[in-house]
Amino acid sequence: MSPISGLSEKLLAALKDLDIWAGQYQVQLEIIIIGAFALYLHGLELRATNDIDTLTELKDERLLRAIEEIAQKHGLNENWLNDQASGLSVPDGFLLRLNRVALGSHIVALVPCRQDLISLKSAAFMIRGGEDPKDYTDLQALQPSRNEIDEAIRFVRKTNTPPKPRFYPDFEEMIGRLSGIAK
Amino acid sequence: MKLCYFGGNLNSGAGKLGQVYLDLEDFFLEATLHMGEEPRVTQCFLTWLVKYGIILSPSKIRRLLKEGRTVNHAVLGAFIDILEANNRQKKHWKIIRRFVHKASSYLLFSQLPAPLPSKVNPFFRKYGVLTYTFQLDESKYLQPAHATFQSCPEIRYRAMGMGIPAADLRSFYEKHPDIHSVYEIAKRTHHPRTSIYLSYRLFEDLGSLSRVA
Repeated sequence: MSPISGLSEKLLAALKDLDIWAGQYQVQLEIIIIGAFALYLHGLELRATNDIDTLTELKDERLLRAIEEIAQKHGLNENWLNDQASGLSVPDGFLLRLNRVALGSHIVALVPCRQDLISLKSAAFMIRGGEDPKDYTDLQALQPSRNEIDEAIRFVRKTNTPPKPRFYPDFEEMIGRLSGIAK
Repeated sequence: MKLCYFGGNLNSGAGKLGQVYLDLEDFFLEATLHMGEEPRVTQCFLTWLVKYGIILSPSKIRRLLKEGRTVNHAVLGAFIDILEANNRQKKHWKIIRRFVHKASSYLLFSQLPAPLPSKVNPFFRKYGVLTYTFQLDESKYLQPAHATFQSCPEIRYRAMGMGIPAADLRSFYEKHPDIHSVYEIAKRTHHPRTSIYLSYRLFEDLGSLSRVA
């Protein structure tokens, strides 16, 4: 079974079209996948995500046009494949630990290892978890161990600690919540 | 998933739901029962409510509530407040107020930690429901409107500005062209028989009903 066969019909069809497009233009796409779709590629049930987030900057004009045309064809939003997260802080050695998963004959997903995924999800939780609990539920689904959460907290403290407590008064409270996710 | 059929952008997809008529007001009331299950679904529905709430019929919702439809009365209150805050026709929703009941304080997502005190959703808090504020993002949580209009006649005809019974009749007939019983159509679209009969006669006289199917 293909690693993407469980996706929604539209997203699956869009990825297939992008693969065909890449074949036509002799392009080999290698994109670093994060977010819920990366969880999915780690074998977790994808209950309700709606787009594919990549850390790889999508700047090729032809590629951007293809993404837009495919979106229109399948009634998807133009950001069904987006690089809004590019520039995000990543753990040291992140690139060396990426796993390659073929999403067709011309698209390769570069998927963060489990620990990096937990660290990135934890950082996302610290940024938006106060208003939006989806990163918390993703972390729950990952069922991180105490060691994994402790490592994620080290990463979060390194990258997200506010310069002054008043900029993020709930920081320690959120760290506590993160710590509580560990199995 | 009905939410996907009505324009929500979630992975679950609409599946084969689009083959039968689905009632928007039924969906709205049913949604009150499912807000505490999955944060992304809740976020998606609230985004949907802000965009498409304007096409919902308060009087039809009231009719369904009078029939004894099972709802979460506190969540219904939050929905009404969200609709009033984002809807030009604020006063229309007053007629639902008597079906709204405040709950004794509870967490909408019992499986998640409580929202931070500074970030409790004010619309839900008013009715005793503690939950997150959520970031509503139309470009993320809704399909493009043109795609929804194309695939969902229940929304398309209402968005065209037709009266509610006429729009529902048209969308029903598009899905079930073999059903001509006004009684049956009225029952399944939750409209008074007279309203459906008048719209049906009008379309029939104009010869426009058969053009739908």
